Amino acid sequence: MGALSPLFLVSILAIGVPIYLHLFHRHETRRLSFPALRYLERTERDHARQIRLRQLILLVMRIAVLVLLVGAGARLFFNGRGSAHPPTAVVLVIDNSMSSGLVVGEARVIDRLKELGRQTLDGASDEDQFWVVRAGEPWLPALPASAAQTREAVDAIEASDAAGNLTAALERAAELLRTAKLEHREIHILSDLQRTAFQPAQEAPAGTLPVVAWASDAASTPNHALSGVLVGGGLPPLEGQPTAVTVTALETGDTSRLPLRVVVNDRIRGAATIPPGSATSVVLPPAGAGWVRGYADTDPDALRADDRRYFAYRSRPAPHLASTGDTGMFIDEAISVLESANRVIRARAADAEFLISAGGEGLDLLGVKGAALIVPASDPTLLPALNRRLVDAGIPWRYEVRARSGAAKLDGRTLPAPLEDVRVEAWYGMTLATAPTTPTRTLAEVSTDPWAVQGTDAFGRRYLLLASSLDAPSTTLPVSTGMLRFIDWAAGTWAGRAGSADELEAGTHLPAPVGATHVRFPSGGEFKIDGTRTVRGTGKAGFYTFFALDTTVAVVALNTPVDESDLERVSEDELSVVIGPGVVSVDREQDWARAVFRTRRGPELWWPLLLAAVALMTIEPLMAAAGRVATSTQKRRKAPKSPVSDVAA
Amino acid sequence: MDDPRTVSPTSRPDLLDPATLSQLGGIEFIAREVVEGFLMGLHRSPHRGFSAEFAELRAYQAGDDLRYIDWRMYGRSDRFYVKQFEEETNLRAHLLLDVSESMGWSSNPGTLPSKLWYAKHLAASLALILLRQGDSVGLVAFHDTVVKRVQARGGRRQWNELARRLTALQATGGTSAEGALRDLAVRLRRAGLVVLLSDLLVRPDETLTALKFLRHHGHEVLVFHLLDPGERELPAASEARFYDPETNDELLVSVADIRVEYREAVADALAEWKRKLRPHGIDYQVIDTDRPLSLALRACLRKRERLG
Repeated sequence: MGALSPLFLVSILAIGVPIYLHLFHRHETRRLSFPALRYLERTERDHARQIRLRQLILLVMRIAVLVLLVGAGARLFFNGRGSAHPPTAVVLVIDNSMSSGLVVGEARVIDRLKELGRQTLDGASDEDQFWVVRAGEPWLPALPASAAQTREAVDAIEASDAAGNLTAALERAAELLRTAKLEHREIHILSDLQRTAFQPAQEAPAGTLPVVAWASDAASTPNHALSGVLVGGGLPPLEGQPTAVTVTALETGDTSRLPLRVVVNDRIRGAATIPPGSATSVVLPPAGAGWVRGYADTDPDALRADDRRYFAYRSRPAPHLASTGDTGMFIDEAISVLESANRVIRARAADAEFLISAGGEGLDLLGVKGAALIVPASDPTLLPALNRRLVDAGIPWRYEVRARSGAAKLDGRTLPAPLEDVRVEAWYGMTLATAPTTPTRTLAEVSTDPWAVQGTDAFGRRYLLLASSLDAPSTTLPVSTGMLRFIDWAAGTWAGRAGSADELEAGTHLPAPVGATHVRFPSGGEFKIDGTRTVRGTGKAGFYTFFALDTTVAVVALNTPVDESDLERVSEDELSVVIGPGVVSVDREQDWARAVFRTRRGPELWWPLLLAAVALMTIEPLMAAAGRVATSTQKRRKAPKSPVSDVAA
Repeated sequence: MDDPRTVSPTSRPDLLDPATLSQLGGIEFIAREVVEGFLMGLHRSPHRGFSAEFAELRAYQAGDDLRYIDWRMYGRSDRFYVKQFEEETNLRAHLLLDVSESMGWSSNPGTLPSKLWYAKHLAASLALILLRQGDSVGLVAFHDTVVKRVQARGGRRQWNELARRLTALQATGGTSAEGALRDLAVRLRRAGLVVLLSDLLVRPDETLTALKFLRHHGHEVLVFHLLDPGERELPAASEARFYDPETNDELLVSVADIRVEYREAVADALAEWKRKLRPHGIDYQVIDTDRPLSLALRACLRKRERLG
């Protein structure tokens, strides 16, 4: 039981008044001379029990009246069974990740989750405050809203193709509730509780907040999925060259083979069968220059989103590449390999589309349509010369020796794929000497220092500056398998002929290519590239096409996260660990409405309490009078008790 | 003391309420007025006990028995005279007056006289009536013990003596009626009329025994139970601490809770007195002190008539 106006309960102290009057006030009455005291004594003696009982009942009734009035004023209510509840701040965490598109029975998981969300909103009051956190679309803002607004938001939710991170969603929900001004707070998790949606965390993400989690008791559904597609072994094919598409099927333990089709530019280019857990390659014929869009798919099952994987690449001619200065053994070897594979064509610096410049040498030779990769020498004494050349080229960045020690991993929001997992042992500091006149972007960082930055110099040539020399003592990149991909990627990208062959997941923030003005989403909608130069909201798998006016500058294929295809759920025993100690799980839809709003109160009791108080106030004088009448009647029925006992004559 | 002449000559003092009556004057005057008024209302002569020995003549008064008109004197003087005889006393009446502390109580002292005032005037009126019809009247005033005793005699002097003694009585002490009754029974050798004027706030068993003892000795007993209206009905206070002026005992009472029960308890007690006394030939009369004295006088006279 609770009270909506608990302060009113203080007035319960008023019951002390009748108790005080009953116990103490009688001793302060006036003293009267009364010779017929014996009649009084007799009356008191004969009716003492009745009088005391009646007084006690009247006292209880008066106390009850006060208690009832106080209870009515305090707006008491029952806990638990009614539909009303105190104003509550609720975060609906709805897991609309790719796995929520799973069809169970005749409905998708996401539809059931939305229905449960509506049940929550059905029990909401106007005083409640809601947020909706979409675990599958974490980039969407979560704004406080009323139940009606939240209902619209819930109705609009669809399963995305992105991964769901319930741990992050819960942490976000807890953070939102900390800003809530309402006393009562609650998190409702509507999810399939996929094990891969929870990330290791030092503390329970929901803290001690009360959490109601939907834990469906539906049996797990076997899921077949394509887990990978790789074009040309990671290197986009060049114009006129055949290439192969390698497709991998998810290991499910099932031995039945999956039918596979490879579609390129809307035409089936190959078909095969593939057992789960294995890979197969489909050779694609040579293609002309231009962007190629394709996908591999298998027969749809209960979870359709992961039955298709997209790929896109640009079939391009090999870029003309030159190197100046002492670029070192690793760069030279990489160029040789790429040249032997016909992926680059050596050229003079003046004719090169892409120049690899050691120490800034040769920048003055590069044409206005060229691009440069500038790598510092390992010898710091050569930095002044490098900086002087940067000044000459109109590049605002300057190198400086920085007393830093220790290795660090490259990091960055737009870190190019070839630079992933690269560690850096030594690097120079790079600072902006002057305000840049054109936009610059940091592609990679090491310990918060810029490591790879790009921009446009005073002549309109694009450049990429690295903070480390590409040798073994400075970084692991030269001695890794990524070196070839990095040079190939840099040459293709900076020569304006990039052909994306990377596998990117839906939900990834896409950096807009240089010159891109707008982007077309898989749904067909086109959006302008904003000032952040980053495309968010990539929740759907498919092709994201970047345009510079009418020209396609890049096509990026986003695919469903492989982890989302693993439908294993966490057990209910683990919920308190992965969510928080305040979690309560519900496994039946009909129980959900009763489980949410854990501070739920039953119907308010003010009117029955008030009614009872009025009834008692009416009965009290009647009962007092009735009691006297009753005793009088009883007295008449009794044989009169003599004040004069029988005395022998 | 107010001038007796303020009373309207047409009024009947015996019918006046005690509050008004108490303003008329002293006990002798009030008693005389009450008795005269009372006897007028009876339309018969108060001069009973006329015997053979002539004493004197007096002017005829309305209500006198026509048998005693002296026609010879009428023939001589053309006026009616009645003959009066020196009769022999044939009844000894003893008035037992309770003068305990409780008798001095009045529920409304400003207007309503106390039970003792009422008892004294009733006793005086009774004495006057009895003396006028030739009976001898004595007085015993008592509380815990007998405080005043006047031997029974007849005649005008006795009336004066009784009036003087009654006037001097004050309410004091406790009540032990049985002692006075037994004392009286022991002292009286000749059977007579015993009139007890008391509020009967006494030990009931012992008092009843003593009254039956008097009856056993051949006395006619008449009990006037004087009751103040405030004793029948509790005061308007919701709660009060009542105390007995005689014993100083206290009792805290919620008046509202027992008002009805108390009223019934008093009625039961009065009925019980009556029920216990009547089988023994003891007349019992409850007299409310806010009622006229004539009621008590009539009861006494009826008793006297039965005694012949």
